[in-house]
Amino acid sequence: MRLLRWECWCACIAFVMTLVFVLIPGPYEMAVFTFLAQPLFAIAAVSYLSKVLADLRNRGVV
Amino acid sequence: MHEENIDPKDCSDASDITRREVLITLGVLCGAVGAGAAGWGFLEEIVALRQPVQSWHKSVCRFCGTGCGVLVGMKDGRVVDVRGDELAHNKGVICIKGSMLPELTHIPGRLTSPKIRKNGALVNASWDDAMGLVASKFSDAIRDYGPDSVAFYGSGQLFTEESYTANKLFKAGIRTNNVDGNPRLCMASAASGYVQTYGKDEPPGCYADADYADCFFLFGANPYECHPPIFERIRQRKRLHPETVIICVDPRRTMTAQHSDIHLPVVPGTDLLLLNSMANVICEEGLENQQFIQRYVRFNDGEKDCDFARFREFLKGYAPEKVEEELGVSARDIRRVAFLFARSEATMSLWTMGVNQRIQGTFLNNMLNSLHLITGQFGRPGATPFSLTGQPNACGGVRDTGALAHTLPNGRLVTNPEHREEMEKLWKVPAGTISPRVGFDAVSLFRAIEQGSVKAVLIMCTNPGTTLPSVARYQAAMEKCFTVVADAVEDSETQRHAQVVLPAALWIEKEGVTGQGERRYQLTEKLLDPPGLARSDLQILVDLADRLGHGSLITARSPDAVWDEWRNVSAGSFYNFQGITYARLKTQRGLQWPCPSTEHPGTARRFVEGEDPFVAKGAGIEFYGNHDKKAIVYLRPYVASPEKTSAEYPMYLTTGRILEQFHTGTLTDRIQELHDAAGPAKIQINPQDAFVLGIQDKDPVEVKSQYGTVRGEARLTDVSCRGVVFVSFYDSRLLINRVVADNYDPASKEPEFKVTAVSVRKVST
Amino acid sequence: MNVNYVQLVYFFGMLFCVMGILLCIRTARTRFGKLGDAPSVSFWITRLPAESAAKLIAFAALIVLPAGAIFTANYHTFEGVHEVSGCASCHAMLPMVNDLHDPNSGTLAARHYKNKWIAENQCYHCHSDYGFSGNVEAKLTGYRHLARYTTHTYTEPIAARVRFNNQNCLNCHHHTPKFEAVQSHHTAADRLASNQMICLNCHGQAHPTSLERTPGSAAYSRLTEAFR
Repeated sequence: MRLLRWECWCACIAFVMTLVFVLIPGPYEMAVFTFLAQPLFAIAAVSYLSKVLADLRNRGVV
Repeated sequence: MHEENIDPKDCSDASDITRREVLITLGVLCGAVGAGAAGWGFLEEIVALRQPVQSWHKSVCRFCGTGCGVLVGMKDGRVVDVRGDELAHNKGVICIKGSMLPELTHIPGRLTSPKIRKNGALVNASWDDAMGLVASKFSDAIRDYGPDSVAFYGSGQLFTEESYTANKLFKAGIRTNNVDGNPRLCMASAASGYVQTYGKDEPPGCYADADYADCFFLFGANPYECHPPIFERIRQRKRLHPETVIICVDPRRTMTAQHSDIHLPVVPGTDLLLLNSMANVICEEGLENQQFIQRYVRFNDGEKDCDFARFREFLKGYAPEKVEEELGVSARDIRRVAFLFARSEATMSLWTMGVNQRIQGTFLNNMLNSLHLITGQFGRPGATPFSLTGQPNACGGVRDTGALAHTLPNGRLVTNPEHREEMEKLWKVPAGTISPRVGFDAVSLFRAIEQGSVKAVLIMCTNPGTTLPSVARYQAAMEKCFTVVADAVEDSETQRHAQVVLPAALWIEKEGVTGQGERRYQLTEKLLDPPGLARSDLQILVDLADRLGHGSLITARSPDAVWDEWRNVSAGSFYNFQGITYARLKTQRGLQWPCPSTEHPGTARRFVEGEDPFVAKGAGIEFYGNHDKKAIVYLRPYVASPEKTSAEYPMYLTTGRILEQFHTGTLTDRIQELHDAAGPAKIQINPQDAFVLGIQDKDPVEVKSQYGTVRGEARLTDVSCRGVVFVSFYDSRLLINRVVADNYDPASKEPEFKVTAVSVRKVST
Repeated sequence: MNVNYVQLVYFFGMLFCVMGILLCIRTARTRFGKLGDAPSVSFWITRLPAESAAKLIAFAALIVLPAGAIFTANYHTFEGVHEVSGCASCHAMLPMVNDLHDPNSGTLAARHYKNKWIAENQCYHCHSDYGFSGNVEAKLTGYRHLARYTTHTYTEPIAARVRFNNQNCLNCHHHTPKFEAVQSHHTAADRLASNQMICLNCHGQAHPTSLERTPGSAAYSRLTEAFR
């Protein structure tokens, strides 16, 4: 069972966007980071956390 | 961290990317794009919601003659912000008074109902009752005593459409030339000076000349406080060109003087000596521009034409060494200033009340213009004689419409039969309608009221009960007359003597055009409704016209209709602004006349070829107002003011405005921030004078002249030079015009507010 | 400080992003639930079961390192706006930047620069709201500007829609002798503090006029020369 495939790919893409912005601080790079990378990170994180919560419920921890 | 014994096969799934995962990833990417777009949308909404202003509207400041363009910010039907309009002539700069315009729209004490005086008190009445009473009183007076028994006293703060309509009603309807106003108290000398010199009124230059001048000659003006955006423009010029020289001639060491390079603290009333002396230096030291003189100038000794030699001879009596003692300025400084004036690349003179409000106001105006003419400092960017206007619409509303006792529209005179005939045709009234008799100017009007020959007067948008010189006398006079006052606020000094008070709309509560100091006409659009029952002054005049039986004369009854009539009337004159339509005024930041067609861009510099449409090609500069197309330099002898200091009255009183207050403070003093900044008016005395008189700061003192007495609090300041006392006239609790002499210029009839001999002493309370 | 900030951002940015990429790849390859038999993993001073280690790595990859990267990049944003070159990277800002450096201009920006009243980061000193200080409104506005600029959904001349924060002026000018000498500064202090009244009303243009910044105007090409 693979739980976190697309979350990781999305986070990877977001990391690449962030890295580009860190290295090249232009307005377009800033916009890509601000309006794409950050939502990607957020979506991946939310999905990850929801899976963690489900896992904990299954185990009776929560 | 290190890993041990992990089977790589369990973890190495790189080749195992499924299509499902790719699709999900792409889907999430799209979701992220959507989230980003949603975030952007959210930002747009937030910013839109938090907008303090819903809409911005182009308008004009209500206050001084700078006539700044402003942007009025509205939200939910209220004015929430006012900014300087960066696209207007003032380049976005206004002053603290303009910044407080949002507060003007809800100042306390607005008149909301007509009032009639009954048993000594003003009580509310209906418009019908009030106007019925006004009409009957005016009709009775006209019937029993003739048309000259009634009068109109208007204002440089009415819209042009209002002054034009009043002028037409009284001169062509009622048939009296008793039409005058508060511009008589501020700009009459400038008008007569320009007309005598150029044949036509109004400054030939523009505010933009300040961007090019190398020498500023500020004479009897305190623009730092009284025309702040203009002084800021001068300072800007100096910042960018530090070699620019600013010369300030003023008996007081004002903020303007403190920011100038040279301050000449002349003795009040003597400054014509300075101008003649400068002219002497220019002529004696070969600083004149003979080429300009030969081509464009004629000389006149006040009665007949003469020549440059005669002019030079006349000026010999004003050599610097001969005048320095009386003038209070050294011969060395006179020579220095004369040289700078003449030899700078471009010299711009700016003057205002220190020149105009004098018994030799017209002569001073003549000489200021003459200095420019004999040195050729004219008609080039930065080289111009510029008379600053005090009120927002003294130029366009009163001088141009001819709403003065001796004038008719567009520079015509009531005494000239051809001019009367032209106006009778333009106004479509029978020949002989307009009276040839010059009406009562301001001071004469109130003296006529005092004598009883004027029985009824309509006073609009002004406060003569505070602004007239020797005011106590004329307050008493108003009691003898049926005085009708139309005003926006209650309880002015004038209203205390009125029998009928009419509530008037204020600023953006009505629509109309104002013409500020550089011949620029600008439109103020209506953005609010006036409070209560208040009406625009135009509506009041139209109502009066109907009730007096002149409804058929006043065919134009709305601001745009009046404007159309007026601009078409101007078409046959050198004041032609037929091309300045409401449509153009709504989209443009004002237009400067002459502007004869709707394609014409307006005229920045008058009398200059290529700029002024009336100047013939090849003429260079043409003063088409005079028959020989030349400007006239007059030989103007200095006459000392009758207000000479004496043992009994050893000091000079001068009055004026301060930055935070406009005129009599009926508007500005009701705005808390301006009220607090100005505080009560003080009697400003030089510390050395105070020491001699035993006066300390904040002591109660009395200022006394042969005309009256006032008491107030002393303020010791070296802004007042020795021998000079200053009081601003915005505070009716310190009604300084009680003390001021009512002598006036015989040509312009403008009173001499600037020179009164007084004594100052400490009192117990 | 500026030099240090750049180095910090480079270092931590690369650290977080590269580590994040590596850990994300590892986590993507991990079969959770099938690690029970795998040997435990050593984490410096302790040993963790393989499943726990994988979950920790996942947590780092999807929460900790993204947080670090986001923080670093936002820090990069808020510090980057300090520098004039940062502002100049947007074409729409070129008129302001070029005017700033124009010794013949009389705008407030140009005067402050010419007279060295602000030694460095001249834009930021008057527009400090874009940085860490200042109000949320300015930051929201800044992001809106970013969105508009990068999607080319703006028109020139640009116009500010939110009130300027007078505190940017008052930070330097408040309590100076010249400021104190003007009565209106005291009586209208509340208005100035709440930004109801803008300092520019009396003190003139900060930047070229909208007319000068309109494409096709006489000044436009001069004002939009590339910034060096």
